[in-house]
Amino acid sequence: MTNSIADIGEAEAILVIGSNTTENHPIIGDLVKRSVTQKGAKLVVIDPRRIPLVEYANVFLQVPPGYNIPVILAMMNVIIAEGLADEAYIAERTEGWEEFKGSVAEFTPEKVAEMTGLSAEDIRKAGRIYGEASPAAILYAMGVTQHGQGTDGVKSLANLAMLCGNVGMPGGGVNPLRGQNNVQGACDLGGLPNVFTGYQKVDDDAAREKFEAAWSVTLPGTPGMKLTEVTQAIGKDGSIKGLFIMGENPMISDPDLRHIDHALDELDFLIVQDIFLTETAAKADIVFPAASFAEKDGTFTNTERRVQRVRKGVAPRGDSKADWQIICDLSAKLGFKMDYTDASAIFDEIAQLTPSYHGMDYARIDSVGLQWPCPDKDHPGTPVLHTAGFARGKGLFQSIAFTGPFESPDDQFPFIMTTGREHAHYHCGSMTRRSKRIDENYPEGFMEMHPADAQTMGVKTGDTVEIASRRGQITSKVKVVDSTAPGTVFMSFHYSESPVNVLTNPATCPTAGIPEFKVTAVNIHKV
Amino acid sequence: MSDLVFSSWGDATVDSRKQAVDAQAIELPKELSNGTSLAGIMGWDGIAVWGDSHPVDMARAYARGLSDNSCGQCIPCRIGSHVILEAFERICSGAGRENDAGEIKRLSERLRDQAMCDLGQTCGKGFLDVIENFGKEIDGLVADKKSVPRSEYITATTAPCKSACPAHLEIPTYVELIKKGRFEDSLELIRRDNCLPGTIGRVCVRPCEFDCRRSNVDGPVQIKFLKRFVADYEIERNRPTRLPEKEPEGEKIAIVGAGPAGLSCGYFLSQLGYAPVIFEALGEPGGMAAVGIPDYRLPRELLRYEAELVRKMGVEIRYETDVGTDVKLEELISNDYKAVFLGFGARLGTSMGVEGESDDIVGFFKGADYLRDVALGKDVFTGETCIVVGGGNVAIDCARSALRKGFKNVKIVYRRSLIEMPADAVEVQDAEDEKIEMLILTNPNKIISENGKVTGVEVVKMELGEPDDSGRRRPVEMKGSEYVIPADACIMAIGQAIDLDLIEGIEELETTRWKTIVIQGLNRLAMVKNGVGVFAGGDCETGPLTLIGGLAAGKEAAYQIDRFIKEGSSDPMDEWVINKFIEELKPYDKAEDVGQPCSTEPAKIHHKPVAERVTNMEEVEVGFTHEEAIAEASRCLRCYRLMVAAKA
Amino acid sequence: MINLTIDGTPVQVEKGQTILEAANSAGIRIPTMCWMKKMRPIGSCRMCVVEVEGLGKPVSACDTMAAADMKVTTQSELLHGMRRDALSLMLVGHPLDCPVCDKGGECVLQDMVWEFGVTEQPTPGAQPTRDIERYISPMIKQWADRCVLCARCVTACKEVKGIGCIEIKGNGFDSYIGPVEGVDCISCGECLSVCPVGALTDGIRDEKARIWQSKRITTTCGYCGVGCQFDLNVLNDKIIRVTTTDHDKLPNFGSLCIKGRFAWEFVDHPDRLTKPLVRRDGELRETTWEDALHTAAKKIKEVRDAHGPDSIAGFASARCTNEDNYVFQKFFRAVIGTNNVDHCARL
Repeated sequence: MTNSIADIGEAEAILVIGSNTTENHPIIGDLVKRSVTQKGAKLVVIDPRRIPLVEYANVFLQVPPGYNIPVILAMMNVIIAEGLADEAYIAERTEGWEEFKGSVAEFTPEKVAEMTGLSAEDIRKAGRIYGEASPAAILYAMGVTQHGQGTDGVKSLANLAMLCGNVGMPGGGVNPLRGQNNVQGACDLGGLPNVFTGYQKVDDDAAREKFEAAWSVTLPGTPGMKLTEVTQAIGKDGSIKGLFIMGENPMISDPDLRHIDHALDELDFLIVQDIFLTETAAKADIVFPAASFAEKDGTFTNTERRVQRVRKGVAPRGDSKADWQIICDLSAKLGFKMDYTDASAIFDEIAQLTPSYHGMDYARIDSVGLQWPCPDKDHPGTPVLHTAGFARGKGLFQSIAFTGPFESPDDQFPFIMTTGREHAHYHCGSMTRRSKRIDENYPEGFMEMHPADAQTMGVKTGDTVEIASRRGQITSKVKVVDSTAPGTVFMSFHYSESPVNVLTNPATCPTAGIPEFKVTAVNIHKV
Repeated sequence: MSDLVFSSWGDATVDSRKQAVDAQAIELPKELSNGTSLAGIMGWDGIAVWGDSHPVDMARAYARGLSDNSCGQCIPCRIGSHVILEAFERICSGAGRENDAGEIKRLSERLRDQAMCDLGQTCGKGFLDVIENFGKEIDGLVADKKSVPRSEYITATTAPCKSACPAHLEIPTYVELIKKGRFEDSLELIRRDNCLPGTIGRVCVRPCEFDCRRSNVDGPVQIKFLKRFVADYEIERNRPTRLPEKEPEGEKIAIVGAGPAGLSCGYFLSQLGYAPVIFEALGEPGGMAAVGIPDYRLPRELLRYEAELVRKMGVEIRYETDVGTDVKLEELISNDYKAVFLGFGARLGTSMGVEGESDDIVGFFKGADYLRDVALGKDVFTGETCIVVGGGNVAIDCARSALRKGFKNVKIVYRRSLIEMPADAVEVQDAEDEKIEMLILTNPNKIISENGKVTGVEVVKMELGEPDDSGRRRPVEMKGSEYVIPADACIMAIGQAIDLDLIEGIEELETTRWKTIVIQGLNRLAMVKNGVGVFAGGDCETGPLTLIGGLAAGKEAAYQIDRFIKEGSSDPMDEWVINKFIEELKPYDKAEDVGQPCSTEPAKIHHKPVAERVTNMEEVEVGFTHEEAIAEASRCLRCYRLMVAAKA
Repeated sequence: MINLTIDGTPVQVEKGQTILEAANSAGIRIPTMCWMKKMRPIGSCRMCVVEVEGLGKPVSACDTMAAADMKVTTQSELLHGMRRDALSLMLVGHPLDCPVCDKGGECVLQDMVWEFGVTEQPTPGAQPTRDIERYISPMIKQWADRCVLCARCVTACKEVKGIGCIEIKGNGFDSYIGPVEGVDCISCGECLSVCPVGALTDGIRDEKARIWQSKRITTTCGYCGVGCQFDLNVLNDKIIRVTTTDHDKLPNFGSLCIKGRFAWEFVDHPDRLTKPLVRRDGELRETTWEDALHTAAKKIKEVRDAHGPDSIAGFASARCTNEDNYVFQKFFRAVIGTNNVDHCARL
């Protein structure tokens, strides 16, 4: 997030796009609701589903899956046409404006209404609400990024925020809501193929030399492969022979599971480190038992860049160990000693090598954490990014060409399926579905279908249907609800009984490598 | 104690045990308007007994009433009232304990001083009066294990604001719901008594606020704007409308006029299981609210939205059907309608009778006609200078409308001073902000015209003399002070009248010399013909008055119609009778020391900037933000009060 | 700014602050039961009554705004009596089941009754008749007879969570907290976390412990990216509850969702991996750390030697700590010698 969570309370208007906030980030969802109901902030929701926040929205744009970009473009078109753009901000803080302005001109609300089936008047209202408010916050999540044009979607939001001068001020910002507890931290700490910690590039000589000196080794200087490239590569060209997976379950969470299943079989070795024998671990050659979050010390970095302590409450179960300890042990076996006395010592090394974490240590983050960047010991942390300027100097307006999702409904696959989470469960369900009281009360998933479609197909809530895509088929029970639009169905991916990702499309956004989970053409038959 | 005459009501101390007195000494109404005679009452101002009722039993009934009506929120009232009730129950049944009176006294003090709202606080005072004045009797009952005879009681709750409101809206509760952020629940509650919350939340003359106890501290709770807030909230947030349940449609009832009274009557009739049909002369709903109140105060869109909800409740509205012209009232009475409600407004403009007035002169208007022409989008005459004559809300409306229609200078001519001006002070201020000139202590003598066009108004200066019947000082002409104000238009906004052509031919309908319809009383019955009851309410019965009065009358008529049809009775509903009785007891005391620090001023409504608003008819006032609404609602002291009256 | 005095101490606060907030800012304690900083004043408990010079009777400090030159008294015989009586009334119909109540030892009512020396339960015979409906969440148990109707839960549900699925029902003595028809509970447990007494308890584990018997370890939630802070309540090396007691703490101010508050039983699920496994003869078998690490190191070495370091890839984890991820990527870059490290940020 460019801004802080508490900051949302300062916004005059909130745009929630591609985020089922109350289910996935309930505490932020509460804050949005509070801003709306107690403070009167205006709310625009853009989502393919009538999510719970729609109840509170001034305007709801039920966009077909894959059509975020034209809707944002049309909102900007309205803002420009009605003189709501922040000219002073644009002049002072951005570049590329004139060219960009031209690229938005053709996306009139009428044109986009025609593309999406939305009402042009609603698009206008949405544009006005965002354009008139100051500050206005944008909250988004995977509903924006898990598309073939996910990166373009994010850029569009950045354009929108800059257009109205909403970046760099409290209550504004472009705020991705991180779906997993430490996505932010995993990225910050170099869990990416092209960067070391703090986004220091591996192909930057100075950065590499710094790490080489600290670690006393020679380091490779070419970026590695992205996760989705790795899984595609295993089966195809055999360039990946060994895979080590720590705390992930691609056998449920990745797109096109059948492909993953085959690919993992092709490996010379698969090492999995997890707290449960997940679907992925079950295919491994070696499984390391890891300690859960309650059994170890460390830090997580939350979605607002706040580094917070994780504290050991109970001992690791059985012979399990903290993940870092296992790696250190393995490293020793390979002849490289990593002798950390405890997690705090690792954190100190992180702080030493990472400018944005440089001012932090366990004592400083003990109570409420610190938000990076925190470059020195006296720095109070950074609740709002880009207050003085952008990382590159001026914010660049980037024109976006909309190409549309990879798959569209056709005769063979007439429905569009989109995916997401439910509030009681989490991701692959390996934790929540093993929490007795939760699973007892929320034991099964459903495919949500609009009453009109249900009527045409002659199905009712509780019926079982077979759902097939170009990649495979699964069965699920149906829940008839009017939260999705006719022609669109929704499924959550928590339930291994109905592994939705058997169906999803592995085609990715070329920049970010994120698969297009949100748009899959499927056909549905009553069983 | 049947010969006891006692009163601690208000500041009165009447006690026949100390000094021989009869019931006359107690200045309280001793019977209800339906003839029910009473033996005593206990309420927020004390206890009074003059007939065959035992004060301790009355206190028991009062405790029962409190226990039943306590909202359950605060400890001293929720539990204290229960403990007090149990003690009184014991005492009255001859099973009292020695410390019961002491316990009652202590808990009553807590109730008075510690309860969250005025319900508990005022009840505490009542119990203490009983303990103080009848402590010996209680001790005697306990010692002798004697029981007391039980009387029959009427129990009612009220609040100063609620009692002042003609429609008796549940104000403290709906304001409290706003305080709790339960806006939709609040609106739902308002809709139980009122079908036009957004309308009334904009243009009500707000009798409630004039009787708000918070005014005794730091200014009244802005009840009107709070109501507006919840009504707007529903629209702005696209919230589903929660309308009251309605019964399946039954008998047809005719309603004359789709103004506030007519809409309200239809709204309640459909809830009671009837099929109301409204006959409306205009092409749209709202009556005088639509064409008598300019859009910048009451947007027509909103009025239409709210009328549409009434229609959704099952009320048929036949537009452009003028009763008297298109359909005769006679036909409605003799047709298949089981009852008729006359709820039409005062649609005729009136003139002063000064020299030179004529509807044929270009630039001369009667106020009501001018507002209607503007509202209906007619091409109204516009020139340089417009003189508006009058000091009421209609005059202000005409002046501000004239400004918006293009007059460069608008002057209001009023014969008394600003203090006497009957128009709402807020609107006078708005007009002044818009640079409308107030020529006070000035009265027109003559409308001057040339070639059929107004060219000026001759006026005379006035001074204030002795007070007249209304208590306002009478304006007296200053001889020789006449002068002419050049103008190309003059609007006479000095009042409206009822168009009695609507009821032509119905000899049985009695009218007053002010051309209003006479009804029997609280039952709203004007006449019965061929077994069809004709009821009336709103401006046609009261003369041009208030929107909230119309809404209230419509509701009352609906219930009376139901009683008339189902029971064949024209007795007024008990509720109205009790409401009236409570009004007589005066729940609001302007002089009361409320015991709150003066620390929160009323929230102020926002206005669009003058330059932006005077060029168009768009709404001027901008509603509260959520935070303002919640903060304003938090100022409410929740002045519920309880009353029990012993039947004789 | 407004200047006033509280118990003779001059206090300066901003306009719009309540007497209670003013007192708190000056470190003067006024007893409260229903008031919570994160919510608007409720005003139900009447414990916070104070005397203000010039006013005929005491006012509640939580919802009365401070005014200039106000002279406030927070302690007096009258106020003590009023507070004592309020507590005493709360005990009417309250079951004195403290020994078996979950809240024993950290119950606001218990603490205050103790503090104010209320030693008798008035009219112990009286019991409210409360239509006990099943509480709307299976995660939460309701003990209606212990409820003091402070309305914290009702207020929190509506104001903090924006749900409003519970309300005060009925009137007077028989009032109770019940579900609102047509509004779904989301089992977030906010009500539970704000209940000052034992009227709402969680229904997850049978193991219980008094506050002084268990440990409370503050940590960060392991589910979504909000990073809520909560306390693991640990007894004999087992989690028995998750609680939030600090309602002023960023980023969640004591609020949690169903997952954070109730979905922690997985920690002791029998499926937990407790020993390393190595596949032998097609089957994963339990083994020693030494064997597993040795086997893994051998495989890594073999593949790296045969196909080069870039033939190995690693997926770090958005579920693990910063320290875990740092060590993981260091291992890949420094030990294996490849940048093929990624994680599931994209999924």
